[in-house]
Amino acid sequence: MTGKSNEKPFRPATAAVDAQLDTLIGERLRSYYDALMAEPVPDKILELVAKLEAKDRESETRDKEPESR
Amino acid sequence: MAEKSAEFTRGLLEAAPSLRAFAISLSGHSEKADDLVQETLMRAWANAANFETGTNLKAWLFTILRNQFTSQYRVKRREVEDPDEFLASTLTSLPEQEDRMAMNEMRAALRKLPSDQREAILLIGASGFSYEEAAKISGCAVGTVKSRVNRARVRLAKLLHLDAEKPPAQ
Repeated sequence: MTGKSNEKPFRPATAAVDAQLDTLIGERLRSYYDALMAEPVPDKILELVAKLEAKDRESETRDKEPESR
Repeated sequence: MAEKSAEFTRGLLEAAPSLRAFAISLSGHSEKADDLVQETLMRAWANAANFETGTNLKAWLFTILRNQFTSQYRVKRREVEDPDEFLASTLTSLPEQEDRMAMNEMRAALRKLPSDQREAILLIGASGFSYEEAAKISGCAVGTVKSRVNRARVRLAKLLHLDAEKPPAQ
């Protein structure tokens, strides 16, 4: 920045640098995230879904029992 | 309760890794993150009837997780002791020392962001949501998401010392 007040700001150049910076940050963030995503999902989470499914099936059969008399 | 469709169940399992990545990044703790993901899946299961088939299941799940986190964890956030080295050391997918360092650096930087900015940059820059989807998930206007993301980027550039590469304005 110079002290002249009537100069035009160098918008295009700044925008280009900002875009580069955005790309760089984007890449860093994604590689961070990809590493997290690459981690195996803990068994307790997978087991939970299986349990929820099993519970549903159970209550389903229970609901149907009166009809099967 | 009626049985969930196989598609719904498959969708939950498919979303699990990204839900977990989001939860780890929000909470800063892999254990807390696992609790959050489990609570989210239970909630999703219990409220499956409210999910409109054909709409974005991942976005729906992220909304549940985000609200869960906001109501439970954000309040306690300051009390949480959080050693910086814990995360990368628990990751099995990162054999290289350099990767671990980059990982810790990014994690530390994310922790220093205000929570609304962190949430926005994670949804847009990492989780692959559109601005419209992110706005829905965060319960705010699209413009708000955009400005949060912009502020987060500026902040991250400083925290990661990336802005040093920017030539000074002439």
